[in-house]
Amino acid sequence: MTSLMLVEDHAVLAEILTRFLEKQTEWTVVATTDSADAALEQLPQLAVDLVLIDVSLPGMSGSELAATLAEQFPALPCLMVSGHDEAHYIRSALAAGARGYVKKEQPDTLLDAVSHVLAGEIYLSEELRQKLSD
Amino acid sequence: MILVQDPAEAEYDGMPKSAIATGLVDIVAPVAELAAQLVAAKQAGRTLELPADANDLSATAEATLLHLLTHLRVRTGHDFTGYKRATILRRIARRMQVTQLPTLTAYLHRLRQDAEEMEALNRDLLIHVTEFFRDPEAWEVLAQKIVPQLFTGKGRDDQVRVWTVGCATGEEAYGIAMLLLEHAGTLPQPLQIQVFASDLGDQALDYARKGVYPAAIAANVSAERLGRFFIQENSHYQVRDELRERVLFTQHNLLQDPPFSKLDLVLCRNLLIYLQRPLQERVFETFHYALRPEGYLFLGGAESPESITTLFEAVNKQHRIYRPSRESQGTLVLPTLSLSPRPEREASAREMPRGADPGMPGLGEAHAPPSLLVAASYQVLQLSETAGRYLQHPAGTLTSEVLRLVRPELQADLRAALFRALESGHTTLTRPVPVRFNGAPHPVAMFVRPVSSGQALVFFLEDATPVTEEAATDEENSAASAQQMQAELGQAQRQMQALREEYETTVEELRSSNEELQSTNEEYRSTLEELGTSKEELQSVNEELQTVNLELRSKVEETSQSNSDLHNLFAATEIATLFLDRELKIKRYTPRAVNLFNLMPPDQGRPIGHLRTTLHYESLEEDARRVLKHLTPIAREVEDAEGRWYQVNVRPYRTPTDHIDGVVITFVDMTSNKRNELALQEAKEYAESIVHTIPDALLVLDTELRLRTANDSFYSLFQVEPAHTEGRLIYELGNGQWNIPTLRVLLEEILPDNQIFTGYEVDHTFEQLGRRTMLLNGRLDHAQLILLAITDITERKVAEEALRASEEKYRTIFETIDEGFCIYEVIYDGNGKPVDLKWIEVNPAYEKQTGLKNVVGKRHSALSMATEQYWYDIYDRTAKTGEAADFENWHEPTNRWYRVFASRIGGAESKQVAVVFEDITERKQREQQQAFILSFTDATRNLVESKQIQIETCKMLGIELSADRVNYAEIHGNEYVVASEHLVLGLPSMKGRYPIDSFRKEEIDAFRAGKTVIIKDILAEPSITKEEAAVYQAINVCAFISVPLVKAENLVAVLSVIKSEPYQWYQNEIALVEEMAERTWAAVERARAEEALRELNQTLEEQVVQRSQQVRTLVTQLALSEQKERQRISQVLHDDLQQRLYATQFQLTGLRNLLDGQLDSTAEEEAQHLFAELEAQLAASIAQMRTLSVDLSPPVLAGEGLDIALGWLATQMKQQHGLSIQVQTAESLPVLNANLRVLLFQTIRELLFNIVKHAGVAEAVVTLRHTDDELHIEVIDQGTGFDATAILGAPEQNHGLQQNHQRLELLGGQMRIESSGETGTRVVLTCPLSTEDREERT
Repeated sequence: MTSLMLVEDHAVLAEILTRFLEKQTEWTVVATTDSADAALEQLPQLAVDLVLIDVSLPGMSGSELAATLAEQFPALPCLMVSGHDEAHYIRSALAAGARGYVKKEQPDTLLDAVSHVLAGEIYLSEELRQKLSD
Repeated sequence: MILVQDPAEAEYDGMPKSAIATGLVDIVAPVAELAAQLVAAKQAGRTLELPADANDLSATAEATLLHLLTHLRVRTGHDFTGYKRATILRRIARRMQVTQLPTLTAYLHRLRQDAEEMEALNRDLLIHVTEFFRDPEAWEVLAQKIVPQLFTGKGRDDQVRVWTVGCATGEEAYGIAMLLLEHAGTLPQPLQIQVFASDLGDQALDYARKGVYPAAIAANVSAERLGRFFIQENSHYQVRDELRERVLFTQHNLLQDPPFSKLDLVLCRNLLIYLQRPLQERVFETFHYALRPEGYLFLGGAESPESITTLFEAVNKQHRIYRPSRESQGTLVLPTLSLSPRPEREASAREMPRGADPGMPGLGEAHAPPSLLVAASYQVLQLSETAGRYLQHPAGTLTSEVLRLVRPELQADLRAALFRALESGHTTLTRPVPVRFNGAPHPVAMFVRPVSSGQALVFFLEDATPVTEEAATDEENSAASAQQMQAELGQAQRQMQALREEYETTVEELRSSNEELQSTNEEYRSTLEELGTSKEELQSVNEELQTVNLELRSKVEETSQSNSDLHNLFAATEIATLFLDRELKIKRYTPRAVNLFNLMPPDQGRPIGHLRTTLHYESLEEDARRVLKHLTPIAREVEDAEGRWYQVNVRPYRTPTDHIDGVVITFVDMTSNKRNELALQEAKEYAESIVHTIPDALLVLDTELRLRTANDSFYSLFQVEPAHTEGRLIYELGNGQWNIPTLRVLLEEILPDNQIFTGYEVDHTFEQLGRRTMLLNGRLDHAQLILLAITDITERKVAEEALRASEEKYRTIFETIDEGFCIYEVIYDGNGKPVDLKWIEVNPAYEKQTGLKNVVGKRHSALSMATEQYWYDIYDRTAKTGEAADFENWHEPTNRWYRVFASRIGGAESKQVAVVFEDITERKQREQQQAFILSFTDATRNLVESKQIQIETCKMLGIELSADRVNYAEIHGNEYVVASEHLVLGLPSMKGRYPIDSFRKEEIDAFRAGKTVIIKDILAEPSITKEEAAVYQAINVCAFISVPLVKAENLVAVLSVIKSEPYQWYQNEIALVEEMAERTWAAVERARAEEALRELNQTLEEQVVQRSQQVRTLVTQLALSEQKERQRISQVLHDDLQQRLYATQFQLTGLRNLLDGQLDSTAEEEAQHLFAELEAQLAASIAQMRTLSVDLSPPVLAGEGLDIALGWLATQMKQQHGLSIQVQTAESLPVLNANLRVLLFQTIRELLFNIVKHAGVAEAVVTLRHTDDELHIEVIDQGTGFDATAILGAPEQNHGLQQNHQRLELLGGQMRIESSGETGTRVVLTCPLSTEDREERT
């Protein structure tokens, strides 16, 4: 069973996103936190395969969390899920150690991304690759 | 021997030439060679191989001599063979010496080649040295004894005839002619005298004929005779015609030519000595024949005529005077003439051989034996070279008959052979006959053969071996001897036969000869008769001849008369004349020509071209040739070296037979004529040039008033042509324009009476020229020609009128102008220093200005006027240099200013100066016042305190007016407050407050009325009492001006100018003080107002600063509030609404996935359609939400610098609007506070949106710069068609930008559009940077 952790400060979105993931796949969202600090607090107690991180978080930002995770849990891949699609967000997220970056308005892409990252790959949609290279 | 210098070399060739002319000269050579020639001749004489004695002459020499003489005879016709050998040898020796030939043979050789030498020898042999009256004693006897005898028994028509034989150069002939003439002069009736003078030599005769002898003859001829018979010419004596005509010179050979006859006297002096005796005898025979029985023979003293005795007897043996002897009277001894053949005859004899047979012996002997050519008459014609061997001249007369000449042994055979040959034409070879040559007999045979024309050739054939006697008598040869005998017999028989035939022929011939003789005799007889007739004819002819002779004589006399006349004419005329022959050699000349050509007698015969002349007439020779060629006379005028002029005429010389025999050239001295002519010509040209140059028209009219000539001025002045005027009546000229009544009266009435009229002025209107005023002068000259001078004075008249008008005009100006005007004459002292001025002229204005009256003609010094030297110097400078002087001058007595303008009148020597005085006092004072006020304004402009202004006023006025005290008092209530004053040192100050009542009432009243109080002298002022005056005096007030200032009917101030001494104030000074009072007041009031304003300003400014600060704070707070609100809304949008939309998206995706495969195809299609629409709506909402959120508060603004925010903005603009923005930022951009940063960011963003909307470009530039206290931002685009001002300025269109603008201004910033339109838009934002605007970057 694949366990996911979701770090999302908007409660409604977090709820719907969890339902969407669990409905569509075999994956289980084992934990949902509304901040980076909470995520870092819970993670040691959980067995998680992948962390989904919203870029815009109160306090520590998503990218900072990714960096911290990469430091503290090097084996734990994280995937950035964001409303922003500006290149500098993507670049800093990847630089921080995120294994992928997905726009929030594209749910189908999210499923692909999770699959690929779980498979050990780094995922960027074609659209975002384009933005990076611009 | 005579040597002479070459005349061509000599500077004066007269002497050598005359020497050469004597014919005695041997050598002519340049001087340098003469000595050498002399030595050579002398040496030649020494080596001469010629014996002195004729008897010593060798046989060969004798033969050579004969050759020589023969040659001479052949060539010259003179036979000298009979001359004495010694004489001939001497003469030849002399020639050999001259020619430097040592032997006679050589000389002969030379003679044959050199015709000149032969002539010279001929001349030498012929020459007789002679002189006048040589052997004077003999001549004396002749004159006394003989000459008178010659005249005795002579009738009136008889002649005394004398023959001088060998006359040489004629001295003897003239000598005897003189004696005869002298004696004839003593006779009652004159007899004709004829002297024949003959000689062989041509040259000597020419000399004699000329009759010119050197001056040396004076030694032999008495002065009396010289005077009577000679004319002395230069160094020569010319025989007078009287004497010359008596002597007839002729070339005559005594030994060959027939003598003269019927002579009374024969002179033969020193001729016979040259002749050998036989010749002498013949000569005597000749003389005997020639002389009348009673005639005389006069021989030379050296003669020794042994042979004379037979024919002559001595009359005076000592002096060799003879007469024909009585015994010989009866016998007429005819002279033997033609002793030697004449050259002509010789020549014909020499032609004979040419007719000879081609086989002539002379030619043939080389190829044939010796031979003879024999004529039919048996005469030997030719004989070959050695044929003489067979000939032997017989005794007796010389013969050429061959039968007598041939050796006797050959005679018989030859006769027979010749007979055969000549008569019958047979050729004969005779039997050899022994002929004894030099003892040994040689057999000689003859071959005779006839040749053409009856001649025969005889050849002699000789056996070389002599016939021996023994051989002939040899018995062995007896048979041969018999045979020979037989042959001889046959021969003899043939000879006999021939003889017989010859004899018969001879007889026959004799018979015919006899007949011929008989007929000849008959002929002689008839001839004799004819001769008788002839003699009579001859006598009559003789008579005729004599008549003719007489006629000729008279002709000769006429000729001589003509000649004499001619000579006199030559001498008398001053005309130099040259007669040239056809070779242009001088034949004759007149005495005058001598000077022109340096002529001397020897020059006769010289070509004209050789002569040097003083005339400048190089073409003389050419002209002469031309005349000879064309026969047209040539006339020229030539000048000589001395400037004399000659009329030269070159004409052909025509003989009476109209034959051209040369040229006659005459030189007529026309110097004076020429000079007159030149002078006349010059005078004429001079006069004409005057006539043609003068501007007046000149006309010459004849008495009929027709125009003869006119000068150029006339033609040009009245525009007429010479062709149309000359010869016409003056009234007709130029279409009758001269038909002027006044002119008619002048010409027709006044002139004939008065001969002259002058200065008539005529006014006339001409057709072309219009109205003209003319001055007419006329004169009737002695040739009745009218000279009319017309001076056009129209212009002069006009000019005079104009001058008058002009003068009038200027006089009026002079009289009426305001400016003073005078003319000065500068007066100098002895050193040329200007010391005084004299008035020449002044105008009324001048008198008014100066107050001077009637000064014209007076001097400054006379009026005791104090005049500074500089006035003199100024006028002197103007008078000398002509440079006008222009300066301003103050006249102290009247206190008036004048501008003085001086200029010279007339030329450089003029001492007069015109001076104009312009009164410029008003202007000057105005200027001064203005200048003063200007300086016052300058001085007070920056003064802010009213008191300072007052002090300045006092100070400046004090200095300007030389016042002792100036003060400015203000009236405060009832107090007169003096706060500012100007004092001269030592005076007490008047500063202080004074009750106004303490002033004089009059003054106070005047002050209050605003009237200026003027006091010249307090003591002299009637309104001032003594007490009052004393008060004034106490404070050193004597004269003053006080100007009150009344404002709003209140006396506010008084300005006083005070002097310690009495002073007459000038009006301008008063005006100045009044002006200054007003100005000072104004300045003081201005200063006070400014002070108040300054204070007010300061308060206001402080308030503004305060309020501004408040506004700024408010604005900042407002901005920050707005920003917070924006951030809050943005936060909500982003953090909640946007997240909800994302959730919706997830739910929608979940729903679609849920329905997938659950619906039928129709529903499926509809559902998909709906999903697509929903997702599109959802995506648009999310995008809109995001944009709104960012726009409200760009995430980058929070905590970032402006430069980074602008970078983000650039990305945004590029992504969302395609606008590329270049951001140029200074490196050390200060950190701005959030408020300003947001404001600037938003403003820039608005501007960029404007560019996107309106500019239509894809690029823009944003630059950020700053100074210490100001930030400077530019937003630039290159767009067109974008009215930035309108867009940015319109609030309804651009609310946000307007708001930003206002907010920026509240913060002390600015936004302005610096450029707009075609080249794009530049919007500049500036805002002050204060410390509170900056904050540290967080």
